Amino acid sequence: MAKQARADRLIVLLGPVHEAAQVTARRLCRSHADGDDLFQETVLRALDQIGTLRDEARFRGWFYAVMVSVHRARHRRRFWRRLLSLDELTFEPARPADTETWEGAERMAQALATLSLAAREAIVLFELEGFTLEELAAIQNDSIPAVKSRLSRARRRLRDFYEKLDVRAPISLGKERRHGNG
Amino acid sequence: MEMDDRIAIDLRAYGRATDRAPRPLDGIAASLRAAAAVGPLTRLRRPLAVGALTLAVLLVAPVPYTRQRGFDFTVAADGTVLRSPHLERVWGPVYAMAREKLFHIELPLKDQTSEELEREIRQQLVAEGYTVDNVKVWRFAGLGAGIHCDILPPTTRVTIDAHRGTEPLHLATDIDVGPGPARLLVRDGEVVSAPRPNPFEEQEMLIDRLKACGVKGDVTVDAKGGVPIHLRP
Repeated sequence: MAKQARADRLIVLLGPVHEAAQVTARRLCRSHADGDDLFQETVLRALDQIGTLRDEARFRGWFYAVMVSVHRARHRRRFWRRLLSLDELTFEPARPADTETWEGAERMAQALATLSLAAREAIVLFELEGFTLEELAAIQNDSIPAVKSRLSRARRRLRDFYEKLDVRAPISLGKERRHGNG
Repeated sequence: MEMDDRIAIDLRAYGRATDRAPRPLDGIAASLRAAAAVGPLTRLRRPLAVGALTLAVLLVAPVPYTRQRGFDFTVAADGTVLRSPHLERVWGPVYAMAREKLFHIELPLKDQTSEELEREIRQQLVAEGYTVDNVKVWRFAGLGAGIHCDILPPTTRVTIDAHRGTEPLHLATDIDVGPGPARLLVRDGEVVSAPRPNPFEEQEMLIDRLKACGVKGDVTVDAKGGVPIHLRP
């Protein structure tokens, strides 16, 4: 198939999913810029591989699987980012938010940043994007029990993070608390 | 408030705060069409692959080049000997061309003094036909060796002793192997310009003497008109 025809086909298929996919890309990454790069690279990779997509009804899952693959490849290339401190994480809301929403979102961004790559993918795709366990297993190229176990460990890790923050008290995400946690 | 509820609330807050796509589909479509137009080799980060492919093609693809196969000597009627490189035009891969242009100097670095290395380099260069003006070797502990050579153009000394009838014939000169023919003068103390009584005998003598000077290989004589002598290593 000619390259332009493949591009046209991909554009049509992206129509219903591109907004959610861009948001997901940002949620998977630590910054919006990284998320936008991830989405752009995913689109280019999808253009190369669109010939392997047999069932267009499964495009959404297929595209997210490409995104996860690109995400992991980027992570391997930029391993030094794993060493960044959480204090260097700056949460950028995509839309105006009230104080409580902002603080909750920033806290969750920090909590997600403590997870492993696959665990963060699992939480974002399952909890926020609404994929089923079967779809998540296909996207992460794993078995359903493995994905269940990963989700369970990720939730436990989030709980540990929140317990250290003691967020049952009124929430205030000041620097002093971060420093207080070492 | 239970911890799990707090997490669920924060997850929803995170979802709301991040729920906006930065680019409309039109922008994505434009980048996709542009990417499809330029092709994968220029769009993707594959300069290494392109470079390796180009290098492989260059190394394997045949290219025309000139190589030297011995020398052509021409003895004129007045006794002057003209020498020029015997060149031939061939096609071959780049690595074969490079191999024709290079020779190797192998140096036993271990347990060798600088003076011994200089002597070794000089001997090998001389064996390759070079006149070596200066060789210096500097050695640094643990850092290998630095080598500096000043090399003059290759020079060959040709000495021919012969007789023309009862008259002695002496020919001696240095020839710079470079572009263009080298010119030898026939001397007997002074320049000998008398016509040769028997050009064919003189040719035979000249060939023998050239062989004695270390020029190896087949010799063919074309006695028509001038006296070209083709030497092939």
